[in-house]
Amino acid sequence: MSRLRQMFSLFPWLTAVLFILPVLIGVTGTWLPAFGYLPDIGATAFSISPWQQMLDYPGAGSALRISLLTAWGAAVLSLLISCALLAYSWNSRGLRWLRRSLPALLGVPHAAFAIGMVALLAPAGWIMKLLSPWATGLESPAFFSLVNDSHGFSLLLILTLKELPFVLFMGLAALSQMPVERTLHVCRSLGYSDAAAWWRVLIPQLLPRLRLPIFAVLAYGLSVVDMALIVGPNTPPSFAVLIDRLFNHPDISMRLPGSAGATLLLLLTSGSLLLWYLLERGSLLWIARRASAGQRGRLHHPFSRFMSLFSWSLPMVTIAAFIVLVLWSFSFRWSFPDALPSSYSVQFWLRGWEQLHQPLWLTLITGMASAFIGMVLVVACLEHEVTLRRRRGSIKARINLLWLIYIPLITPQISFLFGIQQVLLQINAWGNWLSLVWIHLVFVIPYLFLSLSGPYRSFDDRYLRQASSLSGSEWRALWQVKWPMLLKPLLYVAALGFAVSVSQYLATLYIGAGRLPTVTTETVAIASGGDRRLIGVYSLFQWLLPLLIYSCALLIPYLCFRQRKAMQ
Amino acid sequence: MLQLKQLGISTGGEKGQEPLFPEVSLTVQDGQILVIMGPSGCGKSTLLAAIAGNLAPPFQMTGTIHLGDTALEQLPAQQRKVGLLYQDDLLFPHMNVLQNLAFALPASLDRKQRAQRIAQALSHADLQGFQHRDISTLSGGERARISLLRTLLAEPRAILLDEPFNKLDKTLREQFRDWVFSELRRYRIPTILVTHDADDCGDNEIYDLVKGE
Repeated sequence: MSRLRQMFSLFPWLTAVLFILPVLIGVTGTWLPAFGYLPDIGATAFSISPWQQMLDYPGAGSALRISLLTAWGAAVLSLLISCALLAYSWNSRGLRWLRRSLPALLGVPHAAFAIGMVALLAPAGWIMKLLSPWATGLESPAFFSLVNDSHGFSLLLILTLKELPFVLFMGLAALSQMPVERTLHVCRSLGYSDAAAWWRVLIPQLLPRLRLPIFAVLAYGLSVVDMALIVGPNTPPSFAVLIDRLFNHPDISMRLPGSAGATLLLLLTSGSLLLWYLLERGSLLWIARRASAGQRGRLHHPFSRFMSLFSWSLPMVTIAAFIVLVLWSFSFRWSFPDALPSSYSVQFWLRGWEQLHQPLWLTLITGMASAFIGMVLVVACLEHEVTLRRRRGSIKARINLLWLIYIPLITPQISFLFGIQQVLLQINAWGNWLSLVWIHLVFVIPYLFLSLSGPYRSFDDRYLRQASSLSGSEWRALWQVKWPMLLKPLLYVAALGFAVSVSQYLATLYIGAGRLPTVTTETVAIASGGDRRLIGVYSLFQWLLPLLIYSCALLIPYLCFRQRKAMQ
Repeated sequence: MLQLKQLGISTGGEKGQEPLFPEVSLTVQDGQILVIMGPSGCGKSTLLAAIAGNLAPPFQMTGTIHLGDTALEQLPAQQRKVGLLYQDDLLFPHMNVLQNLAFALPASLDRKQRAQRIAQALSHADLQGFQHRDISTLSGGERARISLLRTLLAEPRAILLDEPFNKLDKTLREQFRDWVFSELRRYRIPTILVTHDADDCGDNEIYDLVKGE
């Protein structure tokens, strides 16, 4: 084995240490205080009283109910809607447009999306303004609100809209490995409508492949804090927000019930994942039995048109959210029920730039560092897979690694961030930029791996072997042949890693110690009570930063290879 | 009887509509197996897609297809009663053998009737007792036979075979091919087999798609 390949063989271990270890340390660091052990505040006796305190905390029961409803609701709805889009509009123009829009939709930061949706759906939001007074009869904002409702329905809806592109993206990636068209042809030859073929044959094969992404959606829904702060209920809040309040309570002894809550959230998440797995297995058995009954389904299902329209509307909703933020940011006066601002100003952009330019710079360098380091690690791991494949054609290592990759995504952030914070405090690394990059890497690496592994593994290894034999150097072959040929996916995935880093809210707050504000932490902070014009500016900065990097990721390969048709 | 009359398939090109191959006019009698041969990329699979009703843009079809007295061109694929067999068996992994075969049967049959039909079909293919087997435990030959059984259980009026023997090893290929041909003749179903392997032709009539004869 060449020295290069030997070097690559170290990277899977290094990557696992870098991103699994913090999760393990963090979870342990949260469990101990949950049972009364936190020497920093003088708590050294093991006890279960933190659990009692947590369960007795006002609103804890309702907060738990809200989190379970919103997380399960978002997971089920995003999966059902994704399946319905595939089943009823597979070859439609709407779905083709939605597929092309997915990368852009995935890159929208969660907080900016939530703020955009508030701008659309609030009592004085753009939708009500456009419909008033001619359709609603309202001359002033309604007293009811479509956001921050006490049951969490608005959080459920907005979470669903945000997670749907991710589930659909992962579904389409899985489908690209399946013989979809031939399966449809065979089912048609047996008399089945396309929708029936999807629900009885293709979707049951897709569900196990979507298990891990849905686990990630469930875990995120249970543990999300930034979106919950913006659109979720306030009193009581969601369970993750409640835990966050306990961790940041002025009375530091509340860290103990906070840890108990974080541990309970981890247990709830584990239980939810197990329940989802059991429901999935049960559903597959039921579908297989029903499918063999021979019901062929209707050739022209009424849902087809509806789902085709829906596939157009999902990107339109995101575009509308973006437009209303732009309008907010440039408005000087915008009263209800005017459809557009009555006067404009750039003063909020100037003020926003003044307040945000340092957090913007920090966000940019942290994102670039996380994406760069993450890409080095992931590419090295994938190159090591090439070595394994050459040696023994084995895919076992690949399958084992997939579960490891998902660990940070299926563990609630708040269940381990507090523990990591405690450890970093002990070693004087809390509030340190390198620690911030490290914690961002924990979340960036899984997305890099999931997105890059497909294109990287499908690269024809014969190009590399040929280039190595011609140049006499495998390193040269990588730099001059393989990586340039993979430039488009490499840059796109790096941009995705950057977007993931930009989105990090809780990780930045807990590890940054308030000394490392990013555009996301500042945007969420201002979202709950600031001037909406400034909120618009902040949200747009958060939105535009990944958009800028994505644009570079698309432009660079185009410029490099505009004379090369085969590279388009 | 399957009849194709002046069937042409074209695709939009730089010079407008470009035909993939010369217009096809042929008749396949009940129980006959017609082999269509041609080099890779000449349009053999596209021709089968047109007959089955799966032709997608940018391809366009001219001419007629008749199955008995029924004109197929305007019918959706689901109503053509044309069976398909590909080189991949495309057995559904979330269903066992019984469920895969039952998938092809009409909904009008009750459970007992379905079980009987499937048991008969499996017995005839020397696969007795395979009903509750998991698809992943089957050998390549067993999967290929069950795939054909599924196609036949749907009682098609014609069958299209798109290089179905490609993935089988030499010995299995010969055994499976002979069995397929004998079953299709027994059911008296007009069949079109697309292949680029001369060994698959047997003593069946051959149509050269490029030459048009």
